[in-house]
Amino acid sequence: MDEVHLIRDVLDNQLMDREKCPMGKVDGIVLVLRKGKPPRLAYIEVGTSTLAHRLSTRLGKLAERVGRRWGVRGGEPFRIPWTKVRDVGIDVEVDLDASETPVLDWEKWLNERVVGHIPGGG
Amino acid sequence: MKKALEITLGILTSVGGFLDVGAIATAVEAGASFKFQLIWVVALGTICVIFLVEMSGRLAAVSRHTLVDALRERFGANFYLVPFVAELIVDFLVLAAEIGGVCIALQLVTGISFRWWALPVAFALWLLLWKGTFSIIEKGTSFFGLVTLAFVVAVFVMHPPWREVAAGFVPTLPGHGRTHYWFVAVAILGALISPYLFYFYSSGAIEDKWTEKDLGVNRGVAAVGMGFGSFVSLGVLVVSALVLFPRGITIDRYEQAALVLTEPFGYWGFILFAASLGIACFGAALEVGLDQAYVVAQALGWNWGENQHPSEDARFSITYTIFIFAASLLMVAGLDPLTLTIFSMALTAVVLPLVILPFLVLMNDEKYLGRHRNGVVSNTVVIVIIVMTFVMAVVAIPLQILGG
Repeated sequence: MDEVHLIRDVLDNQLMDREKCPMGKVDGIVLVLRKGKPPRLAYIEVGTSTLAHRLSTRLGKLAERVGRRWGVRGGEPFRIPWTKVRDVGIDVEVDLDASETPVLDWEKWLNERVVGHIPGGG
Repeated sequence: MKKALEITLGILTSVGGFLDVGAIATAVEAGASFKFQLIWVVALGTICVIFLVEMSGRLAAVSRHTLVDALRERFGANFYLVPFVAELIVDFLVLAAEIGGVCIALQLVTGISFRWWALPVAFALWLLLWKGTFSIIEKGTSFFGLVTLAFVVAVFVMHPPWREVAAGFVPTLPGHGRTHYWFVAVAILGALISPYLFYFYSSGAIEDKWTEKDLGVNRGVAAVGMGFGSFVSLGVLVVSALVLFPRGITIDRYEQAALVLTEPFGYWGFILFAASLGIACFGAALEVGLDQAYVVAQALGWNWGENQHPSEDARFSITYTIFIFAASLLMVAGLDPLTLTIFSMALTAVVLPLVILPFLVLMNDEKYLGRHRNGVVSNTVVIVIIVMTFVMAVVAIPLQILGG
């Protein structure tokens, strides 16, 4: 059985969907505490505010405010259930389709609003 | 046969990528102010860059990671933020300097001020990245970059005192202007050991889908390509030493630098200088602009690739668009391209350890490199040169600024 070190092998690693399409990186790992039972590994988080919170509380709050005001999905980090994780090797592979998740919201927004309007971009 | 072709192409590419505004400006300055005395610094920088380029190719081929990905994953986002921001700032200034180099070349030929050229040049760069593929950019840059061989031809036309040139490989101190001597040495090292080269090279290896089978090609390309590039740099330095040093001309404008090829080649020398400067800087600007987008996209885990259509990686494409036009605004504003070049090269030397030392840790990590880890020689050579460059930089730059 191979061991996985959450900080070394998962946190900050590249996330790939089932088609091996890059879908951001692992910005946070969430454990859920349960009464009388050991904590359970629940989610992977993807989002600028999660990353900002790791740097400093103040920066995290700022990122949240900016996200709520201008973010394409209200600045909420996207949570991927740990049960969706398929492989932790060089990258973290999850059993999802990136284009159906909010992680590509900015990509789609830029594509529709900006790139599509530039000649040769559409 | 295919392998030979690959090596040749790779070498051409690195020649194109090697010579940029920084290498030309610092070599002209070195020759004009200190004759052959700074040749040893070019040699030292070349050795270091050969080792580092080989490492970034090896990292990508073995671990299938670009340098940015590997650094972020190995050290974590909090740590990586520091070299990331440093690299973005330095790259931005270097990009502006490269655009400035192209604009100055156009000014030399047309007489129209470089400020007017900045936006058209930015547009041409952007258009090539927007419409082109990685291989067009790679091969175009290298093919046209061969015009810079004019400097090497000029050396042979001018019959330099070879014994004196050879003596330049041994470090000696000048009788005058020691502060300036060390400052120029730092700028040369910063110009040759540019971090963008390693990021770009490792991203290119991923774009070209290298595997462990390509390690031989990688070694050949790094050694011969970078060595060849530095040969051209030395050509610039020697020609400058032969033409400018005896006349006591020190460079404070690019127009004076253009004199170096008029002595051996007359009027055509002037055109050749402008063409070399313009083409080398245009190629380098393409690479640095693309590199900015690579670094940002890889640091944030986006989908990226110059071979994809802009609609397939919108964030990546918009990133280089913004950086290129923003950098060209520094030239529109009339910032002196030569001052900016020398300054950003010296700044590069200061931030080098931030990028290179974590890179070295990575190159010794079995998880990434397996049995292709660094040996004692690579580690020692790189550490010694980088630490030396850093010490020289933190001593020489303040002294240079204080002394005007």
